[in-house]
Amino acid sequence: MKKIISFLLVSMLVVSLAACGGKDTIKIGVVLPDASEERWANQDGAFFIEELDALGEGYEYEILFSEGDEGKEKTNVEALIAKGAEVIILTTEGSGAGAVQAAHEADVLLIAHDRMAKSATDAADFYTTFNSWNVGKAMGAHLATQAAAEGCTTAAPCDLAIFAGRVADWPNATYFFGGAFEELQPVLGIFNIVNINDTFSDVALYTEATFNDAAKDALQAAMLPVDTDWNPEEAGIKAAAVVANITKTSDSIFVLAPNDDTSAAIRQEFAKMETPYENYFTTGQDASNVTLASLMGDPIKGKGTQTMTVFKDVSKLVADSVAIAKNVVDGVDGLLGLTSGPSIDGAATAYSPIDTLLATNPQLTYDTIFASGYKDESDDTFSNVDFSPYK
Amino acid sequence: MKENVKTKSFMEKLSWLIYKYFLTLISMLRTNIRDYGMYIALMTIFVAFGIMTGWVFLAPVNFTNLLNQTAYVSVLAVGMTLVIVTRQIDLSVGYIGAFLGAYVVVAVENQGQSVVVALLGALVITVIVGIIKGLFIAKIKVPAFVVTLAGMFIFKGFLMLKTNNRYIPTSHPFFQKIGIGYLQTYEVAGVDLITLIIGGVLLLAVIFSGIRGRKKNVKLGIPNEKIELFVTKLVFMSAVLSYLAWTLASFRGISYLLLITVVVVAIYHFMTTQTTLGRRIYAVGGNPDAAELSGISVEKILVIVMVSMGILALISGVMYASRLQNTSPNHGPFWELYAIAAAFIGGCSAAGGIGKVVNAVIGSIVIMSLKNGMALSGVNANIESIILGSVLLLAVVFDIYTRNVRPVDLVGMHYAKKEFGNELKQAKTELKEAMLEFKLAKNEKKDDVLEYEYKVTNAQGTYNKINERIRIAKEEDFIKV
Repeated sequence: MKKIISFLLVSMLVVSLAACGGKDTIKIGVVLPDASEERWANQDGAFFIEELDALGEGYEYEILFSEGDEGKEKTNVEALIAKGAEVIILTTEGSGAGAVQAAHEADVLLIAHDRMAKSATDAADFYTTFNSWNVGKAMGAHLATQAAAEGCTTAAPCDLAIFAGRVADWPNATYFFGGAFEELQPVLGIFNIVNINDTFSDVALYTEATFNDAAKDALQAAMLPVDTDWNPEEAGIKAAAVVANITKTSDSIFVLAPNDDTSAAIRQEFAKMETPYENYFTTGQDASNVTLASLMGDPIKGKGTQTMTVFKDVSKLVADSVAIAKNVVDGVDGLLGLTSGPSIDGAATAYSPIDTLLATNPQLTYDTIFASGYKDESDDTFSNVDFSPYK
Repeated sequence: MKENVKTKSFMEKLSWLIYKYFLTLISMLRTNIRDYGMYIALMTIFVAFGIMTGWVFLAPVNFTNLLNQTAYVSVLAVGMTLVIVTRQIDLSVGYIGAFLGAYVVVAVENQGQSVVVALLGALVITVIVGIIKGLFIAKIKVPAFVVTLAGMFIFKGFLMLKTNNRYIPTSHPFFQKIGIGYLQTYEVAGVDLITLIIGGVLLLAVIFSGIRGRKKNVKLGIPNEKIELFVTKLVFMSAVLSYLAWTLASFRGISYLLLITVVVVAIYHFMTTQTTLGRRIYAVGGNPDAAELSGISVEKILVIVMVSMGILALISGVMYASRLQNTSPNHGPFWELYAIAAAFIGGCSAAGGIGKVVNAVIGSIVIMSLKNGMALSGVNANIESIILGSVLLLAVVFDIYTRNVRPVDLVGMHYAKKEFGNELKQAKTELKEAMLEFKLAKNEKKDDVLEYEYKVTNAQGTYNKINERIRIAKEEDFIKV
């Protein structure tokens, strides 16, 4: 028995040794939240490998995943520092406070990738992001223009359901919501809010310029009851509750959904109504496959019901983060050659461009997503879509 | 025997001494494999990661990081050891710890309470919760698994409520100190003298207490362990202590996280090994009915263990929030499972009654070494859980297979083999012959096959008897001759 145990132990060691592929010293470290999420493993993670490999010698790098654990995230940052990283690109799992502290204590620069990383007294040095406020504005504007086009008025208001992202995901979720609300707030009169508790009607108008702590508190208080946790299951549960309590006042329903996955879950609940709405308008972001099929007019797989999404080209975001990291290693100004935004929490911000894709303009969707090679049209999800008119 | 040795040349004598030393050492390792297995595993992991990372793993920076990373699991594992020793389990400590951390942070940062008031408030909460858990388990006899599973859900909810689903960053100096602070240092040529002095004092304390213990044993007539072993252990421990002190001193000294861990472990080590309470806890774990009959209140002990677990969860939660400089609704998951795994890797017996708090800390270091080392060597993080799971399983299997290890003295066996070697050989040949004859008789289908079988059994008996005599031989038996 002892022999078997020692054999197992030794073979385990050999396996772990064989699996070792690390480099001894590195210049650039990357810490991403979770290898089990499509977004981090196959989008950001893959693009990082592509971009950093292209930099070649002198820019050795290593990518680690935090497995959804904030303690592990700090461990990863510390490990990268111990291996000599000069700059670390971090998408934080939580607030990133521990990572900021560890990096700055070792005089290592920190680039917050897509999510802000900050503690009470300190923040990342750079922040690369899509302009989240504008993402929200695009969603809100879509609902507002569609409502006007459908003939909704104060006399004959249309139904509106509102859902938000994870409140704790600061600043993104709040910015999405704030941006959307900037567009919706002035025209709330033509809507009849069908959420169980209307926490929205009394919220004041905030713009990105007037956004402050009071705005943050007001918006987050409104968001809390409709927090989907970015989780389709949670979104479905919340939507089912809304659906169960609806008294229809119009034939059209407008749904503010924070992203494509939750949007899909929410519209499934609305589709289960005894007499569903005739027209269904909803928002989203991320350009997921199901949503793209929907925007390209697939009536079955996409249910033909998502009417817009905001496409944030992750490869552009990754390129921006890598460009900053390269600048830091080269010893020049980090934002050299990038579009800078307003400084958020004291971090120099770089904005990556966003695209609004609408069901009414499949040509644009085709050009942005498929012609550019971002997604492959031969994917099974798009089997019902006829791409030939757009080529 | 002795005359034999005397006639040998000096070189032969020397080589025999060295040989004998290793025989003694191996005998001890084989006899006490349960206690040392985990240290050997830890060393293997350290060396493996050392090689994989070009020794960055064992460099001062990373080693300090490793100990700081381990702190919160260690503290939980200490409490979990006692819980498991009393045959219970506590799944709620992760979220209770995270909740209490959040409670203290919110009280200090948002409600402007002083740190002491906040900590006392959290202490009151955790003691009450511990008593409630203990009473449910001990009095109402609800299985601990269910009670604490309920606690896990309940405190996850309380954590969400307390943090209001937001990150709350810490800025109070108390959290800065606990989470990322180090003891006062006095550096000379990049090395912290204070850490070195503390290390030196500890080293001397270990040596002197060891020697005093031996003297006391002599006075009381309790047999001491062999002097070779004693010296080897001292040398080994001194080496480890010196390495630790030097490594810590050449980075930033001793962190508050490490200090708190050491203090907690020291208190619990003393409590479990030197006090009546400790003995009672192990008695309850070993056999609750016998403990009850001998006048120990099992209910009281279980409540005490649950309360102690809660207090350690509070310490752990504050350490974690301080280290990450914020409290968050995402804190808490898996803490309890790491603590349970650490306790089992540290040799806790699932059947209760067995388990040492110091070993649970080693178990925690094993777990965190895997996490830290994998990150450092850039190994695909998906493999980490597989390895951790395998180590846990191996540790428990190892524990079960070594539960009934018989003591062995290879030096004694060496002497005994010389003395009884010929007898053994003869018995063996006789046994072989008997077996051969029995086989032949069976093939020929003789009527008196049974006779031959008797012969084999007898020969086997004689052989086993001699073999056993050699197996249980002790060095002392031969020196006295």
